[in-house]
Amino acid sequence: MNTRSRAFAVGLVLSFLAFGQPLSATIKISGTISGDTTWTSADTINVIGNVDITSSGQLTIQAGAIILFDAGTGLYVDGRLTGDGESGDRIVFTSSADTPGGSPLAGSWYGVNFLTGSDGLLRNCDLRYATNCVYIYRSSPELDSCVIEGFLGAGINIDGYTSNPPIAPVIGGCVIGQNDPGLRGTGNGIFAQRKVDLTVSGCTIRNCRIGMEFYANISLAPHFQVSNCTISNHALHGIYTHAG
Amino acid sequence: MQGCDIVNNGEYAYYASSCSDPGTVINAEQNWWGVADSASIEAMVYHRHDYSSSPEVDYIPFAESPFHCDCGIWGDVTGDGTINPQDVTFMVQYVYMTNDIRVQPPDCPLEASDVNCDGKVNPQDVTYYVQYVYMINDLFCDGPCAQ
Repeated sequence: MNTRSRAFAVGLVLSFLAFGQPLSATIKISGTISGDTTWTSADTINVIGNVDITSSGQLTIQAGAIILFDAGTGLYVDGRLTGDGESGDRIVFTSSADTPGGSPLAGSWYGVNFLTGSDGLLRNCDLRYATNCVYIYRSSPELDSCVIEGFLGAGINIDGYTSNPPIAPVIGGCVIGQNDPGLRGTGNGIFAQRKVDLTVSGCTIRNCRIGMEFYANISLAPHFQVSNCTISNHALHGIYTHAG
Repeated sequence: MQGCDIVNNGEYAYYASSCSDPGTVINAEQNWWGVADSASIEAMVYHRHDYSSSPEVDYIPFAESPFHCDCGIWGDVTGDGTINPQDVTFMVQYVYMTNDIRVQPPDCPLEASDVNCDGKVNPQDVTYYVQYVYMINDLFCDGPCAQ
């Protein structure tokens, strides 16, 4: 791991196979990332406190990496986050209880949060068991071929606030929904409000309370282009648009 | 929005609540609503015809057949987004033990597990699944998604 960050709290727990071969390390992390940092698939990252990527920071997560979040923690991006997985070697963001024999709870951690002016890409990533698995506030990241499930608030929650020009996140080829039948009726697949030009294409959005919800203030309305999606099996509505 | 399948939703497929400019028209042409007659679609859309302060949802012309399979991935009969050992387990249980363990409600029709497209869900499909999942050998037919 290449890092210039100064404020990490890092602990290493090495696990070994019976024959003494290193299996992988679990690296416990919290704090800020202000330089260039890479998380690799060689180690499991356990986020034990909030991780903040500052405006000068850049975090790259390699294909196959597993990021486990303790309850109440999240990843906050003011700089740049690149999680570029592969279809057969995905990046996983999930609860630290999402392990064999564990009992992860929906909404147990606070998701990946793209904040004002940040930038990012999540491709071939799996995100589950967060409050909002992805939160986008006044920024325009790209989400491609991600699987998002087990959320309480929204799979993807987007707020453009008064951005001028509006933010323009792009979501393509994602599967967003609750796989646990007990969670059907909980949370919205995509929620977007205020100054947003949202593009959603080729997505499957299913088994939520509402598939896609767009909310506008009187003068701050989102615009959305939705194409080639399947929007199905929601407890209430497929699409819900409303104004304040 | 266009080219979407908007199906099997509990109350409304599209609910357009009140807005500051009720003269607004939302373009929702060329989508599949699960049926191909305007009266049935109208019942699934809440808009100006239901409440004068709501915008109009323009859903005509509409598609007359679905654009996609009911599942996102051909062969993913458990509907979890990937073809994996869970699908193999399902197939073994379904074919040999007549035990349907798909998630409920099923995300995919049973036909999605007819991965050799012979019109039957049978041991040959189990073989294909095992080869696909454990031997990285893709023998699947293209399925209706590729049409």
